[in-house]
Amino acid sequence: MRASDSRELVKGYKDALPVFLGYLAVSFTVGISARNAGLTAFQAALMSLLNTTSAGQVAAIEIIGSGGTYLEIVLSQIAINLRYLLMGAVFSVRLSKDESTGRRLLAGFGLTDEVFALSCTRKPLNPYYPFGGWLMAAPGWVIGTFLGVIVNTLVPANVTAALSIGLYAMFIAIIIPPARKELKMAVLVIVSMLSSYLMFRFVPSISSGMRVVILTVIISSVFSLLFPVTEEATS
Amino acid sequence: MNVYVCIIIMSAVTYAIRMLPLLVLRREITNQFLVSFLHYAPYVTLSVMTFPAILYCTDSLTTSLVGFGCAIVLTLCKFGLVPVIAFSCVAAYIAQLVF
Repeated sequence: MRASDSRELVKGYKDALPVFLGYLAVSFTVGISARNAGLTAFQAALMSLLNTTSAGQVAAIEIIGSGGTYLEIVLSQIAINLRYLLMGAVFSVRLSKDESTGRRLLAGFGLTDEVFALSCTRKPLNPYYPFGGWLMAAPGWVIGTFLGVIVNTLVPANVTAALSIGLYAMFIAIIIPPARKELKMAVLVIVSMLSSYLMFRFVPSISSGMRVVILTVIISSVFSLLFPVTEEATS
Repeated sequence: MNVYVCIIIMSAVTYAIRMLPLLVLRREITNQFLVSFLHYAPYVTLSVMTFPAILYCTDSLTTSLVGFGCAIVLTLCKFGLVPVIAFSCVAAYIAQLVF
């Protein structure tokens, strides 16, 4: 481990503190749905540790609760988590091309929506940054899930709701600054949000995970054709 | 269905999706379309995940709008990540008590 690695590890770990708190609150509700589906606290916490993906876990819990099939589990995870493929591609080009396989895989742990969001602020990306973020965030996710199963009303509902706003506030704090600097980025953000709303409203059969994939591919492609960027401009 | 088998399967699928692009895309990308695409993609992804989901993450639309508005205004006023998150949570909490 290089000196820059430990620096980035600590930075990622510290930066993810708000994610830890947000995860505690959000995963609490995941724990409640796990309990309703008949999972034990250990099973739910294990699922959270090994997956760290809210929408994917909620879908899997519903399938388990309704006595679905393994095939349904596989298909639901692919559909909902396909967005990680795009996020992984973003990570991959921001990592130095000389990074070893092991170090690249380390970055993969940081592919949760929130740690990805934080990592978007790092260019070039050191794989220890997202890994440090995951080290902070994952315990929040696991503990919250565990508590959600065993405790009925530990946290008042209005505190949970307020904390879950925090995760979205984080996304906003990351997407608005470039939109403030460049008009095309502002248009990109507004078009993305509007399209997301329209798809949510008029094609509700498309899951939130697939909506992210479909709109990311379409809108990023259109902008790439209209406003191509050179490599220098991205760094 | 065995719950543990389910957990292993979903974890394998999810991490395969996470790791695949990191292992496959190892060369420097020079294609201008791809460079541009990956430049825009994170902002589209985060925007789509934020809206309209933020409106429905609390029990009341008013509360959510207060949190949403607070986050936008504070970010535009150049507040940092942590203050934006903290004040938005507090604003949403207060809104819940008031409305």
